[in-house]
Order: sequence, then structure tokens, then C-alpha cells
Amino acid sequence: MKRIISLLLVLVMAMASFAGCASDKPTEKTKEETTKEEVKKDTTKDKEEPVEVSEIRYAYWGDGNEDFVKAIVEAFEAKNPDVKVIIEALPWSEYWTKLEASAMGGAMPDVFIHHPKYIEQYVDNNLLVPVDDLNDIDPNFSLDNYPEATVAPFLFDGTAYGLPKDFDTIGLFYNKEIFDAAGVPYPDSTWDWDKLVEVAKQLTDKENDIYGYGAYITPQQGYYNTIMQAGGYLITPEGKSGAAMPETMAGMQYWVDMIYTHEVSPTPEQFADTEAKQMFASGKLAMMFAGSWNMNNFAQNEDIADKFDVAELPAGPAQKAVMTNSICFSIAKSTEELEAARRFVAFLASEESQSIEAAFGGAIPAFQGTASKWVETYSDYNAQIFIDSLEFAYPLPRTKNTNKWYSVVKDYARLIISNQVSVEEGCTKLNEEMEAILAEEQ
Amino acid sequence: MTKDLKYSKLDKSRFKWGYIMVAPTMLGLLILNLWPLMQSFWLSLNKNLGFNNYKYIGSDNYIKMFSDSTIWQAIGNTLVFTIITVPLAVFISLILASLVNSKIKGKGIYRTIYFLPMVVAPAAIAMVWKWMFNADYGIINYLLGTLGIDPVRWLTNPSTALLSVSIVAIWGQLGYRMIILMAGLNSIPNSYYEAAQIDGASAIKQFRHITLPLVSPTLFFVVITGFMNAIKQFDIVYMMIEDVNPALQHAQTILYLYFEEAFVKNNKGYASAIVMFTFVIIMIITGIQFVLQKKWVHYE
Repeated sequence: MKRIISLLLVLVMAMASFAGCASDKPTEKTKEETTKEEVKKDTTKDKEEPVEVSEIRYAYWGDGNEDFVKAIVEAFEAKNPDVKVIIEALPWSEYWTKLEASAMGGAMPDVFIHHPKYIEQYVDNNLLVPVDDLNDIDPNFSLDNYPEATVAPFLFDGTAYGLPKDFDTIGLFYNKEIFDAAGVPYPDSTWDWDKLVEVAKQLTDKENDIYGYGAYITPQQGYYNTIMQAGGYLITPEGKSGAAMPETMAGMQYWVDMIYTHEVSPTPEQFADTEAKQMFASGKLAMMFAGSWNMNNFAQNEDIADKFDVAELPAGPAQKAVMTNSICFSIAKSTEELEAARRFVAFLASEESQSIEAAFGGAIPAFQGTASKWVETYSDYNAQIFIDSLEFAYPLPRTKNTNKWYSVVKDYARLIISNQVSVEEGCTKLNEEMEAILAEEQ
Repeated sequence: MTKDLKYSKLDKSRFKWGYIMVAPTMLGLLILNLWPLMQSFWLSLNKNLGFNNYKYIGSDNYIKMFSDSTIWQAIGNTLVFTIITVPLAVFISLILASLVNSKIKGKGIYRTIYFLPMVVAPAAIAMVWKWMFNADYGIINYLLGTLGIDPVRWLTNPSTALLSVSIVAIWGQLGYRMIILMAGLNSIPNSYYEAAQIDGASAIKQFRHITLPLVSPTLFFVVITGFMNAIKQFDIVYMMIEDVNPALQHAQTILYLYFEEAFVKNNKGYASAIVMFTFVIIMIITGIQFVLQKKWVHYE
């Protein structure tokens, strides 16, 4: 009997191990509820205004300390006293899990920010409201107010399901001090791959632990750019896998060469221990590719703030190319406050709101002209190159279910760039897997 | 029905109260454990089309899983991790439990120190160890350097990555196992040791012939839960080995893959097949242990 009981106990314990996988997060809900209650208290205080207040929930990814979000919401509420906005911030990694769960449970936030990697699934499942008809709210509203590249990812059959919030491009960050010490001129827009290698070799000083270049493994800030610069594609314009193209392989070879042939970069092992951006900030790297959103971090970091600057990415063997990505504001179809949500989105996408964000220096706002305000925020640096780069910018490769092949790409890129498989073998295998995944999408 | 005759009315009403008392727990187990398990099984026969739309595909997920070399490597990693951590952790915690149970000064301080890792969040433990294991600036390599040993790339070298994770896992679980073993040790009557001392048995002999057999039921519990936890290892690997780490392939465990499939790639059906397979592995290993226990576990 004792044995049977103990066996049963073990069974139960083994099962208990799976309970964690399926559990929800009730704590977040209670948070929302408490803020709602506070709101209700606030509104009852304002006896002078008997207007009915509509509440809308606005979700975005971030750590919740984004001052500009609060500033923008306050500016909106000042103009629209009958709308109350509840801000919900979630880290990037949890944002999409929660958004999908809330879409299934019918409890989506009314307004939220969206990403090109995910938006198509939401449009296909009829979860979003078109947002290109906001002229009744804002007479100045027009999709022409935004650069074409920032609108394109959110257009489906000519209908916009999101309005551009901001965009980013990639630049060549460099450490002026290391260049000065070696007496080498700073990078400029005439540079190509060969020039970069030549200078990186001059600047590498392994005895003092200084590397000319940081070839860390990253898609958007790394190999996506060099693949395009070499004339290749990860996803061809026809939506097929381009991983086995010789040009794509050349784009991957670039990173392997930097580390193992020219030996001007730390190894992926070193980068796994200490992040490239940390190394750059502590003066160990003379150059590296990084996204425009890093300006904020480096400009506020005392160690590096007055030592670094940025330049355009070097041209590849085929062309100049840089990755760009944009983020948009969307409205959930399930919203019960459609009118308030449309007004809020019209404001978020307006020049006024995006100028507020520019002054805080976060991401580059999308509204025509507000980007220059962002550049002014970084007047000590050559931040204009991020805007100029739009001339030769390409959107991130994507398909309907980008996530499914994206992690496969990341797996193979790791194996290739850390020299565990050859470029040719890795890209060929990657191509096979991508073709299988893309075939399933059809 | 003949059974009914054996029990009096009083007995029956006692049974009723017994059932009522265990009902909340049983209900919890059914809703929180058994139901998700069945759902996982059902999901494993389906394919996720996004937004809760599923398509029945029968055993396709399982066929795909058994032909996937990444899965087998992850299972291999998990078993190596289990074989490194469980025996070592149990052995060390048994020794420590006996030591802090004996008459030494500052027992309380030792107990607190050993139990401390249990009150710290696993994520915090992993971050601190990650920093200590850092090949270029970490304290471990610095100490090795003062002894003239070349720096080791603990977390990024394929041959040491899993070992490094194992060290953290052993360290982090020591306190929990020690507390349970201490409870087992405390229940051994002192008179046995006194008798052994009079007969002139050495401390080691006392440990082998009194402590070990009498603590064996507790030890069995610690071993069996240890195996389950080791096979389910996820958090430390996830925190310490990032997706750009060249050694990832040689350190990712089976539940790490489960997480990747379920929450990153959104293949919930395939992920469920992985987790069902993990469940079967745990059941088999536990079954074997129940057979083997007859040889070494002594119930009073």
C-alpha cells in the first residue's frame, strides 16, 4: 500500500511539473483593474465636467519608464478631456505572447504599436481596423506625411492598417579616439568593404586588447545589411528563399572573414561573454555596425559620449545598402471605443506628438520633418547619416510567418559566423529549411 | 457490494469527511495538472495555424520529432546534465547535511549559508554566475590566472558550457536537498549511535551501517525529485547561454527547445509533442528507480 501511495505521489509530482507551462499571469490583470479604479475616482472628482469619459488602453513594448509616452498621452488628454488613456508597457519578449493571447481572448488593447514582422497575421485574421481615413478628425491627415518606406510595411491591398510611429536605419559607429591615436582619417560615405578592412587592420592592436572592428552576430544590425550590399537576398522580391544565392553567401562570408581571415574582430565566443556594445562603450572596438536607436544609450554614457561618432555603412561589392524598419500604431477591431481610439491614433501620428518624441531623442519619428528635430537632439554627432541612408535603404526581409524562419536563420548565422560550419554548407542547409517553411505558408 | 458490509455507519461517515477534506486538493490537481496534461496531448496531435486555430494532423509532430537531430542532441545534453548534477548534488548535500547535523560550532550560520541560494531568484543566481564565468573579466579565470592556469572560456566553449551550467545548478539546489535530508537524519534515534559507539564502531562505519540505511527513504525522495528537476532544466540554461553563444547547440536542454518552439516560433503543436516525450522520459526513469529502490531503500 505504501508503495502504491508513493507511486501515486510521484505521478502527481511529475504532472505538477507541467502545470507551470499552461498557467496565466493573473497579476497583470489586477494592475489594470486598480488603474481603472483610480481613473474612476479621478473622474468623479471633476464635478464641473459632467462629460462621459471613454477609457482606452494603449499598449507598447518598453520598460514602462518611457517619459515621452507619458508626455504624449498628457498632451492628448489635455486636448481631449473626454478620453482617458491607460498606458500598458510590456517588455518586447512578452509583448507578442500577450497580444496574441489577448486577441484570442477578445481582450486586446484598443490602441497598440505593431511591427512589420507580425502585422500580416493580424490583418489576415481580421483583427485590425483600417486607419487611412482619419481626415474627419485631422484635416491635415494624409499618408503622404510619412516617408514611403515607413508606410509600405503596413499597407495591404492599398489599405493602411497602421500609421508610422518611427523608423530606424543602421550606421557605422566609430571611436574617434582610436582613429586619432593611429592618425587615420574618420570613415565617410565613400568607404567600401575593402577600405573598412584596410583601416580595421591598421587600428587593431591586440596587445592592448583593441580591435579595429566588431563583427558580432546580429541580423538587423549585421548580416542582413551585408547580404544586401553583396547583392543577395534572404527573401527574394518574389517571396522565395534566397539563402543559397552566391551573393547571399558573400554577405555571410564578410563576417567570417572579419573574424578568422583578417582577424580584426573579437570572436563570437568573446562577444557571448561581453556584448559588442559594451566593448564599444569601453573603448575596445574602433568600429561596428549598430542601429540608430543606440544613439540614446551612447550619448548618455559618459565613458563614450564625447569619443564616438557615426558614418554611413560602407558600400558592398554590389551596392550601397542598409536595413530600415518602421513601427506603427494600430487599432484593434474589437475596440468598443472606436471613436476615441481613432482620435488617439490620429494624435499619435500627428506632427505635434512625433515632435515631442523627437525632443526626447528615442527613435527617429516618422512624420515628414520631425526627423530633423531628432537630428538636432544629437547635434554633437553626424546623426544626419541615419536619415540620408534612407536613399539606399531596404525593409527587413519578411513573409507572412516571419518568425518561423527567422529563428532558423539566427541558428545558422550563429553556426556560420562562429565557423562551426562553412558558409556554403550552412547557407545550403538554411535554404532547404527555409524553402520547406515558406512552402507551408502558401 | 460485499465490501459495504465490512464498514459500519460511523466508518462511512468518516470516509465521507475524508473525501470532503481531500476534495480541494484533488480538484486542484485535476484542473491544474491533469487537464493541462490532456490538453498538451491533444495539442501534440495538432498544428497551430495561429490565433488558436488548430488543424488535426495525427502523429505528424511525433514523426517529425523523432527524425529531428536537434531534438536528439538536446536529449543527450539533458541526460548528460542529469548524470552530472543529480549524483553529485545528492552526494554533496548528504555530506553537508550530516556535517551541519553533527555537534559543531556555528551550525546555524552554516545552515543559513547553505540554504541562502534557495531564497534567491534563479535568474539572479544565473546572472551573478554568468559574470563570474566571464572569460575575460570573470573572477574564476582571475583566480585561475593567479595559479598560472590559462583562462577557460567557460560558457562559450562547447566542452565546458554544459559543465558550467551544471555547477550552477548543483550549487543552487544544495540548500533545498540539504534541508530535506536533515529532516531525515533528525528522525534517526540517537540510541543507535550510542550503541554503535559502545561497540566501538568508527564514524565512517556508523555512517554506512546506521545513517545510510535509515535515511534511505528520504534519500530516495531527493534522488527521484532530483532526476525530475534535472530533466526539466530550463531557467539556468536560458539565462546563461544566449542565442548568439556558439556553444548553444551543446548546452540546450529539451525544455529549452520546448520554449523555443512554443513561444518563439509559435509551433505550439510541435512543442507539445516535445513536452509529451519529456513526460514519457521522466516516467521511464522514475519507473526504473522504483524497481531499483527495492535493492537499497529500507522502510522501517
